[in-house]
Order: sequence, then structure tokens, then C-alpha cells
Amino acid sequence: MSNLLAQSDAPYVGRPVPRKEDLVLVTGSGKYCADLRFPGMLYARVLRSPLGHARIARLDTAPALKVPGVVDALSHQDIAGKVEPWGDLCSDLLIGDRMPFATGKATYYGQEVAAVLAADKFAAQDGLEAIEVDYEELPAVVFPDQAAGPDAPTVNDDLSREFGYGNVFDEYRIRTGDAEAAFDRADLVVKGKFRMGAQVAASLEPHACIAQYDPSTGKLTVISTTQSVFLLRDLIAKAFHIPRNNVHVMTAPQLGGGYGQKLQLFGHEAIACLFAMRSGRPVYLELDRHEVFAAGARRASQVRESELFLTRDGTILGYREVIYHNAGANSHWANQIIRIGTQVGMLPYKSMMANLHIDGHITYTNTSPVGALRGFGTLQTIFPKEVLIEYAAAHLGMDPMQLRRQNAMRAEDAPCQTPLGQRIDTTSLDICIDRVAEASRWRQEKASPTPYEGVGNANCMKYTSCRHPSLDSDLDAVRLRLETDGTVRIFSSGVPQGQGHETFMSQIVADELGLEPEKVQVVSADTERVPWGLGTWGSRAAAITGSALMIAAGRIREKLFKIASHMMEVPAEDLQVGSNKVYVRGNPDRGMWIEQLALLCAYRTHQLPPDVEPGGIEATATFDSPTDREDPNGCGNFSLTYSCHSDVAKVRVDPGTGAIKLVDYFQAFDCGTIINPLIVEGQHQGALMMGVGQVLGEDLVYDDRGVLLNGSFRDYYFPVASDFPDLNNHINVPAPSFTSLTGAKSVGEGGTVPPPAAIANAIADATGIYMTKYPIYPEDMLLALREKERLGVDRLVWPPESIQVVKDACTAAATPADDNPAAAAPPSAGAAPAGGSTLGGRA
Amino acid sequence: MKPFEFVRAGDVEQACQLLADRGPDAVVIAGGQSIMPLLKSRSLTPAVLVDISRVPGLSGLRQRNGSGALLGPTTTYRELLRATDSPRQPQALLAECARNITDLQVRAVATVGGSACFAAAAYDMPPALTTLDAGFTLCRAGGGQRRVGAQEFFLGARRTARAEDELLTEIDLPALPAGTGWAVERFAAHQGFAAIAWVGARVGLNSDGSCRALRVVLGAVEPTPVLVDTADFAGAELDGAALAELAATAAAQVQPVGDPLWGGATYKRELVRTLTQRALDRAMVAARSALAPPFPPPSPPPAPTAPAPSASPVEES
Repeated sequence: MSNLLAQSDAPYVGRPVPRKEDLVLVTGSGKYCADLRFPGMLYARVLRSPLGHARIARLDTAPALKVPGVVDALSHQDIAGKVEPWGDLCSDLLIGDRMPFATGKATYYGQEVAAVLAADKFAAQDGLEAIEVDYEELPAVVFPDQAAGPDAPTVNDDLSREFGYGNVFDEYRIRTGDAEAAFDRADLVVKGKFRMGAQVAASLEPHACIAQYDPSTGKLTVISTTQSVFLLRDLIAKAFHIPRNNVHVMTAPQLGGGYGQKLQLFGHEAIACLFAMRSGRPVYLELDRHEVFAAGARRASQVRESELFLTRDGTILGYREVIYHNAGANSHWANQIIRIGTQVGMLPYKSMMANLHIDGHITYTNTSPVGALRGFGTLQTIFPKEVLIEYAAAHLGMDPMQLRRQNAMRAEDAPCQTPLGQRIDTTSLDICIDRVAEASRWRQEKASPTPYEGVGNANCMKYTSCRHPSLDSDLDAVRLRLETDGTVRIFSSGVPQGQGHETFMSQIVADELGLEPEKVQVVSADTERVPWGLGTWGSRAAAITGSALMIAAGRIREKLFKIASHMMEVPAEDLQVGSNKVYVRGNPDRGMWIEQLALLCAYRTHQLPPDVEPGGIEATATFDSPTDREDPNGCGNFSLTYSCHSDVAKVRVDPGTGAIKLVDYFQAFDCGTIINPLIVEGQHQGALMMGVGQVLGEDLVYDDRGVLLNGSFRDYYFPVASDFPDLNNHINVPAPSFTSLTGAKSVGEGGTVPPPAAIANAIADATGIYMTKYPIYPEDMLLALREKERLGVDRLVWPPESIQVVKDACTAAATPADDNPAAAAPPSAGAAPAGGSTLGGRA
Repeated sequence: MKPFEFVRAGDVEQACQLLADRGPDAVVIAGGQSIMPLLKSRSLTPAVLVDISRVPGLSGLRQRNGSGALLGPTTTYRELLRATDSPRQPQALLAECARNITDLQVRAVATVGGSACFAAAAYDMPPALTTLDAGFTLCRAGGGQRRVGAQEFFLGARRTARAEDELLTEIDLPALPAGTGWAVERFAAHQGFAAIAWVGARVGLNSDGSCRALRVVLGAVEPTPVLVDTADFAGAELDGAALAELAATAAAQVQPVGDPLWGGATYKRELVRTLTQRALDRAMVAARSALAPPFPPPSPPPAPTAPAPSASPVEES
């Protein structure tokens, strides 16, 4: 199989081909779920729990049926025993903790309690207001570390327990080498407690679906804003016990953003199906913005207690961590997020990965269930590590970027296998670090600092698709059809949400078949038309779907060569494609139009060679990544290949208000072969904005009763255009993958991963304040600055005491510059430095 | 949204009569900035909406010679920005706030009077109008009317002195005396968002530079605008130390209402101190420049020749 990188003269791959998708989008002529109408369509609305945790003492939907326009009303009472619960796989067993409606008690704010079907949305809303519910409020728990404790209220109490205890429904672990021995060998051990918030994607298009049921055939058709038509189909079929060939799932022609958050069977989708089956009429159900915030999935918030072991020369020896992972009230995706996010997030510091001891507690809380979201657990993983490195570097008197550089994976290390089992085929991380330092003028910034301005660096490596612990599959399949006029249709289960699938897929196929991209078209995801595949999420499209496309296109090319070779009496090995032709290598005038060959195969079948199957030329191909399942120690190579990022943030802090202004931002990255630089640029810009939003404000805030306080764009602290500097400081250092047939690595997600740590580190550089929780609000910043003034110290950790020096043997070889004799405690004594949370020992 | 009757009032009397007849069932709408989201979410379900946006005479700004300006309550922020051409006009202070209110679309319909009557705690107009010591004319059906000063008008979060059957028909903005400088400082999560803390400062200087008048108003920290007691500083020379002390006084006097999302009381108090200091600094500069003789007329522009070959060193840096 040809590697696209080798064809540097490829006509389309690698070129900034304008996106085919944009005309429809910028002219507003796209058709989203809300634009579709079906005769007799009815509208449903969902009544949601106004409390975080409450027993439903009484629920009566009958009054709703008396409201004019209302057709039907439903609650758990109407469907008990008729729907099979669904959920995530834990320890390879399904944990069925999800139902269309709350069963007996509501476990989070926004959970589906009842629903109404009516002639229009307003009548449906009137119906909801008529439903009578009496709640008996129960104590709620919203933080994962509290939920894991012995006294926490139990979130889901009637689940059959095959694993877990209390609210902890599964455990996670990584073991490599000997972390205890690494601790003993370390000269410096820093430990911190970190809190990471719960971002929501807030896609422009809210979650919506249309369900239709044909009572005569028993066929259920669902048009949904889903990122995976086959996963949704299989979940619906299983929940309702319908044969899978009688469930038809597709998307509307356009999907206005997904980011991972439209990747599960939601309660509202099940409710729409139920109403459709009961009424026999098409049912439209759309979430409003508040519902999207409250129940449309969110990022997994986490608490991490992390310990970093280093030698005095800055070599990282190992890492120990306890993770409290907030899954929300249901298990969706939570298990996958902590596993993949943590394992991949342990990259890229080589010697650190040799000695890991990580335990994770995956807990239920009375908050909205998590979903996949751009970055998938890696942001939460790298934040504590990168902040501890920043702190340790200051303690050791080293430049933090230099410390990272000396520990990071280098280009010449690849190919290699890490102690965690990851197979790194290629990388350019060390070059990225050097290049980002140069572009951001790192040395100059560090040498002549401006008050209240600072620079911060963070690095990561990022998966490119993944073999999920719950899915022993990392494949995509495509079917290509060469039409009889030489145009091509791609049938793919990929669901474009703005990523430019049609453009980049067209580029790949165009080059493989010697056509122009205009001749290639993509058929939207539809379980009745496209081959079975996993859909679009987890940075899979360019590498996995792209590889399948190359195989399929190769098969079509083989067939074209066979026919052309027969017709032209030239050996197939001497043929090549280009300019819409199959021609003799080096002689473009001696060839046949691809259109002619396609016509021949369908309409002039007696002219075909005997070993060519007549008919329309089609090829189906599957690419399943050569990856591993997780072993009991959390090791294995889950990902096809790994992209990398090295970022530098420059911030300015206003000492009067605590406002944190992002002044400049630099992204250096390797995403392998770039198929379309325009798309890559857009992905990196968008990913950066999402990462910045996460650290400077985005978080779902619950009160201690589990009531969501900021479920609107007015109250959710969302970055806007004026918050951003130039988004075009991109430094591309490609190290094309050789495990992905396209040479491409992940692009869409990696940019979200470093910003929280890079910005927190820049704040530390600007103010001497090390932030251990994000979002970092101006309030935190100002209160920390005032506290630092009050204490009269150079450095401070915020919240107080959240980072400690657990062991410090560096001063045993005391240099004259060292002014902290207190730190020369016995190596294993675990003494905190003088001055509590402030950083002693720095000259 | 729930169904409602929509009446577009033709004049003030008709609007007032509707308010008198329908009492609490009637809600006045002008631009709809505050009302529309409430209607949409069904938080507000009036039986009748009285639209005053097209009542003649309720919109626009009339400059009164030497005695300030009269502002029609249905004047939109956009119209306000267009009707302002000098910082010496009192409406300039409102216009500076208007510039930062939400976005262009909303500024084109939202009105000053609507904002004043809705009187949400985080809105800019209530403290801005208080800084200007504006007066509010309220009319009743039958021609009765009264004037209420800003400090008596704003009674609480979303509560004003306007009775249910009254319509705000005019806002008078007293003139800024010679030697007056003002400044507004606001802090918000992002540009265009509601203020987390808001400070307006007005300084009036005598020709010898001593302080003649001083007015500091805080917004978005308590349910109503807070007029800081500056009596201790009357007549004092406002040097840097005095201004810092004044900022500390403002922070000490205010009783901020903490918010779980946007900032606790301690933080808001700190913000008040910073913003008061900044507003006073700027107001002092403005007041001093207001005292200074007007600029000489600009010299005629240079003849349009080719750009000078050697750029100045300032431009190079």
C-alpha cells in the first residue's frame, strides 16, 4: 500500500483544497434535524427533575392528557418491564443503569421524569406543566472524592452489584515497574491535589431526533443528531428488543457539532421511539439549551492526588496517583474515559512511565452523566503532571521547558514501545518543543520577565482512534462505487459534524483513483445504506476511515487496471492513474478514460476479460487498527499511532481584578501526514478555544443539593471571540505515521489537551501562584494574589496547601545558592518544607 | 411562551389607560431585552403586553441649553450612541456604558427606559443614571404625573418606584457643570456580559483645582445602586493618597451580595476598591482637562504629498 507521504507530488492530498461543505453552511441552506418535516409529525417535550436527588413519591401524568393538543404522556410507570436498561461495559460486563425515565427516584438535576406528546411544542409544554409530581428530597453528593467516601449518600441503590462498592462502580489501575523503589531513589517528590472541572461542548445544534414507526412492518426509523448510527441502532434494538434489521438509524444531512457528546443512547431518543411506537406518528423531540447543559452529556470532572518523583538533575523517575473520576449518575463512557485518557495521558515523559502506580475510583454522583468530549480524559491527566513538573522545576532551579525536554520522547527514540505498552511509530515531540520555544521567544521571555506577564509550556501525546476497553473493535468500513460516468460515491458510517469529511475523503480517493475531488461524493450516514462502522469520534476519521478508503480505492484501481490491461494489451504493472485516466506509465496519451472503463464494466460486459466480474465497480474495505486490549496492569497499545503537541501560552494577569488575559498562544504539533492544511488549521484553532474555555471558565456548577446553577449561555462562563489572541501560531513538524495507511495522525482533539496546563503554568510564571484547580476564575486569581501579598512570599499554591514537597534530598548536596536548610531532612521522612505551601529552597 | 394580547399603544394616554384598566395583568414592553427571555421561558405570563416602542414623543434626546438633556425612555442604546458627540454632555456617560451592553443586535432595540424600569441588579443603566442624578417622570391615566429622583427610583433588584399603573415618560439628565470629569469602570466575564462590579465616578473641580463636587456610585454589587458617602472628602484636595483612601472607603461601605457563579462578597469588595480607584483616577484626569482651556483649532492638514521617505523613530519602534 502506498504511503501518501511518499507521493509528495500527489495532486490533492496535502493541498489546501477548499472545503466542499462550506457553501451549504455559509449560505444557511443546510438541513438539520429541526429542518425536517414529516406528515402528521407530533412534538414531544420532557419533564426533568428539578432536584439533584429525590424520591418520586407520587407521579401522575393523567392531567396532562386533558390539556388541549396533548396526545400522549409517559413516565416510568408506563414502560416498566418493557424496556431493557442500557449502560457502559465495566470489567467486561454491562452495567445497566440507564432507563428512559427516572425509576422511583431522580438521581440528577435534569433527569427525565415524564414526557408529553402533543400537536405542537407549546401544547407539549402546557402538558408538562399539568403533570403532578411530588418529590421527597434526598441528600445529594456532587464531588467524586466525597462520593467515594463511606458516608456518602448512595446514588444508584437498586443495581445488581457484580463489581464496585457504594458509589464506586468500577476501579481502574496502572502498574509498571516499581513506584515505591522509584520514590526511594528520588531526590525530590512533589505531591498535589488537583480538581478538574466539567466542561460541556455546547454544540450550536442541540440534541434532537425524529422517530417514526410503521406498525405494519414493525420498522422503527430514527433520524438523530448522533455521531454513530450503528452504535445507536444497536443500543435501540437491544433496549426495545427489536431485530436490528428493523431499526433504521440515520442522521440529517447536517449535524451542527458533536465533539463526542452526541455519542450514546440518550433518554430523549428512547422516549421519542416509545412515543412513535405508541402513536404510529412521526415524533420530533429536541432539547432546549438548558436541557443540553443539564442532560446532554459533559466532560468527566476529576479529583487527582498526584505525586511526581524526580532526581536532582530533573529526571522524572515515576508517578503515583489516586483518581476520583466523576461519572455522574450513569455509567456512560466514564470507564472508557478514565482508562484511555489516563493511559495515553501518561505520555510523553519516558522514564516516568517506567514506574507508575495509579488507582482510579469511578464514582457515581448526583450530577449529569458524562459523555465523550474532545480530549477524552487526557486533559485531566496531563494537568496535574504538568503543574507538578512546573513546581518541581522551580524547586530545582531549572527551566521547566528544559526539564520537560530532557524527559520527553525524542524523534530518534521511535519506533519504540513504552513501558505502558504503547507502540510509538514516529514522533517529533522534541523538535516541537524546540520549535515552539523559538517561536514564542521562550528564552527571552524567561530572561527578562515583565511583571504580571508569564509564559507556560505543556506537552502531550495524543491517541489516534482507540481500541476501547468496552469495544474490542477499532474499525471502520467503507464502500466505494465508481459510477458509470467516472464519478465516485463513498458510503461511510462517518458522521461529519464540521470536520470536512467530504473534502478530505474526496482528496484521498481522488489521488488513489486519479480523479478530481469534484467527482467524489460522500453519502451521509444511514444504517440501511452504508457498511457497518463505528462512526465519527475519537480522532478516527483521517487515520482509520482514511485507511479503509485507501484499501477500497486500491481494489477499484486493481480492477480498472485489469480491464485496461486487457483492452490496451499492456501489462497491468505498467499502468498508472491520473487526470481521470488509466494510462501507460510515463505516457499519459496512451490511456483510457476511467469513465470509459466504468461504462465498459457495466454496459459492454462481453468486452471484459474473463476474470473480471461484470457490473458496477464497487469495493468494500475494512480497516481495524492493529491495536491491543488492556492488560490487567493497564498496559497495552490502544491507539493506532500518536500525535504530539507542545504549546506555549503567554498570559497577563490584572493584579486589580484577577482577570487573566491570554496574550499569545503557540502550538507546535505533529499530526502526521496532513491531508488538507486548511482543515488542520481550523481543527487546531477550534481545539485551542475549547481548551482555553475549559481552563478559564467552563464548568457545570452544582450546589450541594445537586441543582445545576449555570445551565444557560448567560451563566455558563464561555469564552468569546474577544477573549482570544491570534489563533494562527501553528508550527507543524510532521512525522508521518507508518501504521496508518494515510500517514495521518489525530488532529481534532490534541489541541484541547495542553491549554489548561500551559495556561496554569504561565500564570505561575506571571504571579508565582500555582493553581491546582481549573477553571481558574478571576476571583481565584485575585484572592490568591491578595493572600500572597499578605504572607509576603514569592510563591504560593492555590488553593492553599494543595501542593506539598513530600521529600527533598536535593539539598544534601547543598549548593551555596540554596537557602533552605530545612529541606535537608532525612530522605524518607516526608517532611513538608518550611513555609507550608510556599515553595522554599529556590534561590 | 404563553398566549397574550398584544396592544401597540398609539399615545401616552392610551398606554396609561391600559395600565390603569388591566392592572397587574399588563406588562409594558419597549425593546424587549429583558422581557423576551422571560416570556420565552414562561417566567413571565402577562395577559396583555403594552408595546410603547412606537409612541410618538417617547423616543429621542433633546439637549436643553445649559441645563442638561431630556431623554425619551424608548431611546435605544444605538440611538443614544449616535446622539452623543461630546463627553461634556451628560448622556455621554450612558453612551459609554451602552457601548458594552450585549451585542449590536440587542443595542439596536434595547431601550434606556426599559433597562431603568426593569432595574436588574447587574444592569448598567440604574447606577449610570444614579451617577448622573437623573430624574424620572412618571405619568398616570388622566394626566397626573410626578418626578422621582434616581435615588428614590431604584428600590431593589427589579423593583422601582414606578407603580403598576404608571408609565415612565421622560428621564431628565442634569447638565455636567464646568470642570466636571467622569469615568465608568465595569468588570465582566467577557465584553458584552453583565457587570460583576460597576463603578461610576464624577469629580467636579473648582478653577483652582480643589474639589467642588464628588459622586461615586457602585453597581451590580448590591440590589440597588449604591451612592458612596463621600462627605469626608468634601473640599479636600484629591491627591493620589486621597483617591486611594476614597476607594478603600467605597469598598468598606458596600455590602456586596455574593454570587456562586460570578464572585463572592470578598471578591466583589476587592473589585469595588480596584474599579473605584481606576474610575477616580480617570475622572480626575477628565476633570482637569475639562478645566483646561479648549484646544486651539487644529492646524490645517498638510498638503496631500507623497509619504515622507524617512519614517519617524517613534513609528519604527
